[in-house]
Amino acid sequence: MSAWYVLRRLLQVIPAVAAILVVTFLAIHLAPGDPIAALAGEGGDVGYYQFMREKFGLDRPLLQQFLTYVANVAQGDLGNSYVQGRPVMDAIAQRLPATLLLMGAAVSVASIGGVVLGALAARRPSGPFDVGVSTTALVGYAVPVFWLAQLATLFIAFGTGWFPIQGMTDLRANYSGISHVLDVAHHLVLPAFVLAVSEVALVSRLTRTGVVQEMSSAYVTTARANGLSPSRVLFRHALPNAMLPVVTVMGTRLGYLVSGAILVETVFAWPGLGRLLLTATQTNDHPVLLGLVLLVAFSVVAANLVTDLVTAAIDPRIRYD
Amino acid sequence: MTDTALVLTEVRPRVRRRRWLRRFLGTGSGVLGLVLTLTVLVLGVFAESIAPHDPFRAVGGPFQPPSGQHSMGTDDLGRDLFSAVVAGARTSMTVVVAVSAISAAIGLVVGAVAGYRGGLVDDGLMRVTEMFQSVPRFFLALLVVALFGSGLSNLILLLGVTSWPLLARVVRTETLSLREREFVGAARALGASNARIVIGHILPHVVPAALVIIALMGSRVILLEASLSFLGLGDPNAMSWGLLANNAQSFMRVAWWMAVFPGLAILVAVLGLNLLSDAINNALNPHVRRRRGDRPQPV
Amino acid sequence: MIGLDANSNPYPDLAESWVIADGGKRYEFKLRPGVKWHDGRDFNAGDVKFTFDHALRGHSRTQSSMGLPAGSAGSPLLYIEAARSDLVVFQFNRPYAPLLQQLNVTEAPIIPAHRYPANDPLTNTAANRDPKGTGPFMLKSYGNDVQFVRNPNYHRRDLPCLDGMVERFFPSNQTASLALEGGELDWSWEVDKSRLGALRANRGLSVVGVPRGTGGGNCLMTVGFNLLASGDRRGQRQTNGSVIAGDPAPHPHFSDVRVRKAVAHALNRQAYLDQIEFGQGRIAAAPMHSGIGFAHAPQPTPPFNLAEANRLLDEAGRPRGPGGIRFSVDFWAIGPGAQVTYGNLLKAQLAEVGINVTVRSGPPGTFGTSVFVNRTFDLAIVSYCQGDDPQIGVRRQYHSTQYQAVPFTNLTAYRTSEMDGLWDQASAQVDPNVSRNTYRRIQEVAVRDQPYLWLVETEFIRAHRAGCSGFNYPNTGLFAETAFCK
Repeated sequence: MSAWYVLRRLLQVIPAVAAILVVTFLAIHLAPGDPIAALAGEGGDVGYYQFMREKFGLDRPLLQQFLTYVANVAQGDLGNSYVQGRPVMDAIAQRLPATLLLMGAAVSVASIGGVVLGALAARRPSGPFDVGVSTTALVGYAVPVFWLAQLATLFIAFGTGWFPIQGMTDLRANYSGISHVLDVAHHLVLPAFVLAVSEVALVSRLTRTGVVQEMSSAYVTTARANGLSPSRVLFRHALPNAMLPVVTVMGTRLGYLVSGAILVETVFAWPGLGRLLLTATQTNDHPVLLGLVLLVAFSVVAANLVTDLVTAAIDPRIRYD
Repeated sequence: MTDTALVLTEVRPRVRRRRWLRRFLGTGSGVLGLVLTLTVLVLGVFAESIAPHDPFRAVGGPFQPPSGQHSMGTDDLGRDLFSAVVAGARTSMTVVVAVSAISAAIGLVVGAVAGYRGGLVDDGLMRVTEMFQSVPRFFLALLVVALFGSGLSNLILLLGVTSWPLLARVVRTETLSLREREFVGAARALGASNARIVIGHILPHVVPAALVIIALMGSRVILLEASLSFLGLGDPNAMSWGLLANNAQSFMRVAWWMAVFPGLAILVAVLGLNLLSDAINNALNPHVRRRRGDRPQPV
Repeated sequence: MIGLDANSNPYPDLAESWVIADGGKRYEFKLRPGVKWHDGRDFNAGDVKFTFDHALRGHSRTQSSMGLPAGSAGSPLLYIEAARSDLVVFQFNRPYAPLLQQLNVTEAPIIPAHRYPANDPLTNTAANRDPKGTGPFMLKSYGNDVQFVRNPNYHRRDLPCLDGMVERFFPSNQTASLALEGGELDWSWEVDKSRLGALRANRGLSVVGVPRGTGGGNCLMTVGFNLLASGDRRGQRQTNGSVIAGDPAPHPHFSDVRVRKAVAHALNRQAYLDQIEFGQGRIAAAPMHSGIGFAHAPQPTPPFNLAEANRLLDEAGRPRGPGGIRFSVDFWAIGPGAQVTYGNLLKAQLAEVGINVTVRSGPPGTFGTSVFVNRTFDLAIVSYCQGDDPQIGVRRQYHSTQYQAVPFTNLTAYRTSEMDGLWDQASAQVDPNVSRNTYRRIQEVAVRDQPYLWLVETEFIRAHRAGCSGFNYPNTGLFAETAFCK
């Protein structure tokens, strides 16, 4: 990885961030009616509108408004949510951990489960296990996540009673310490697995394809000829080499994951960004909505950057095209 | 699953047409994908003739299970669910076709111009493409629905102008490789204009690769529209699968059919397009090669 | 201040006793001594005056009936006085009948004046985020859930029984019902109504339908016709008191009473009750809710009759055109949710007589702006909660002064001097035996002119685990004051 590549990749962030700022700014100003209604929602009183108007300089020329907007965003300050009566970023910060927990758990499940399934399937391409995994993966990748979540609450949580139906904590018990952690973990299992389904499908498929290719490459044939056992070849040589595309793809899945998390949270009453977002759309709490859009967009840009740099560091063959 | 293939492979229309088609039809999954997609397409195009009833009218008692009279049962208001699912196919196909048309127009032009002209034009266009690629469409759509209302046309326009970057990148790569081929050189020697070369000689060869991306995009668009409607942000006057799934949410245990059939419809449509995209891609690339490729666009 | 029992009769709460003087023009309330706010300060008469002067003027029900702020033009209320720390006086310029019905915790929750030194309870979000009351439970925290703890200084000794409550919000009714059935909840506000039968049959649960609850009572799903051309705001009163000049254009269809009657005939109201409310509630027999017993006077509402609807529409000169469509209108509802389902059913029913309906919906803010402020609608549905006296929640639908750019006032822009006169007359009739005749006349006129259609009287559902008992329904917000769980 050359310094030149890192520099160029970092510079690439600038137009991406600019695009996000321009698109959101335009959306606010192209919306029908007064931009203050688009920016602040419809529920506020005169004093609140005056505050938001001044904060975003809505009485000034458009270019100056844009600069003010950029400055506000740069400081992480999108004004106040009238509905919640507090800064937008406070509202988001309160909900963010629950969503991160859910997404983190789903990614873990997907990485481990997907790699294991994919590697096992690759041991005998077109064998019954491979066909089974591939078919399931195809369906798992096409199934709408909200639908899966509904079926899971109904048939698994309610039907078997093995997992709680809703929420992140037990309503009655007031746990602390290790029992609190266990309580949250118990609540986490089902939503995390539902969210992970499409990612498991993707990872298993990527892993399988990668391993099959590696296994047919020259060095593997050599290793096999030198008497290494098949599973040793698979897990020590082929699999690590097949991981690169998996890392590349997973790093770009953040946008999908957050939107999936939003839908899963809605069904499971998981107290994360999903509920914040849903409430914001139902109360016209536009500052919160805007904050969430910007947060996700910037996170996607950051995740892409990190993924590219990590991949480049791992694989010296990559160059900037 | 086509995201996978896209990441792993480079799309190259080097294969001659006949062999391409034979390879495509030779795989069971390709045929299945084609059948599923055509089924949904036919349902959408001939929705009015196929649907036995107006999906917005009450034609029977509420919550009637599937029967000879109502093959998918009726909903809470006594409306025929089969008619609603068919009308949903029309809505989904309208969105998919319209979004594809808009993004194909943008993607083909941007990709072909960037690839053919190269140099600074290429650099500039690719920076713009990257800009659009990092915009999370699901969240932008939420913002647009909140600000502009939940009309279907708003959604189509938004998805259309934000869904093209992947297509543009693939078209560019194709054009780059085609630019130096003999038949292009021959056309140039014969004095054909640049526009004529791109439209007449390059684009036809790009179509199969573009179809891979467009089919993939279609499946993402279906899921996106359904997800928005599921959150209650869809257009209530356009019967859609997401709207039906949203409505079914309250009645899962009274009327399983209300949840099952719309969900299956989404599954079938998305699966069909994914399989189709996958099969075209595999047919184009008999020898899958590894490379750091185009990244899928965030939702 | 005052509680209301199941029959809407007042009983002492924060007000220990009261005297009605001057033929109903003057009300004196003696407050209970020793009542403390949750922050330990004393509750007193100044808090009551403050609540009416600065908070309730922002509420359409109180503002429209009582005429807040006190002393404003046309207001029956002259002033509210904190005569002593334990004595509040409401002085009206003419007899005012419904006051005792609008002092319960639903209509008038009293808030602490000392928390708002700038008299800004509508905008002081810092204080509003840390609310203090005098009730049985105190807010402890709200993060993922809302937590309440027992108020040890509650003025009713030995109450409440519960040590605390945890409240959780569910984005989906289905999830909440599953959680209740799965034993994860003790109590639930609203349930999956389509499952009422099964929930009732569940021995582990107790399901109760209540006509009144926190936030409103005697709610009636009401469809209103815009009598003016969509988007025409001339004649509308603004929040600053001014009125937009000019004469509005009449609605192209709904200004004709025959069209309104035809729509009434085209709607099968039983279907709304059966398919949306799942039998919970009843078909409205009159413009005034049956829960307001003394005023409710059943009226011959146009019955479901498609032939008659078609005949009236033909007679009104609106023949069927291409595709059998007579004309197209926009229907507005608060959504997403049940009110959109009302719209979908109405769309299906009106299609039968050739009226093409487009359903539009939005969250309450958007609905309020589009319908009540900008008036860009043809038909709209509102769940008008009427309270315990017609003056509280029905007057705002029919009085000409209530045609305002304020949500949930006079939706249809119905304005007649006949109706205005009747409402003002009834407001001053303190004896219900007298006012009931005026209210009967009001309902006859409403049926004759049909600016609204009253569809269904809805009920709230409350459900709890069988191991719990002692919940207070209806008519009080203090639902858990005497509750306990095993």
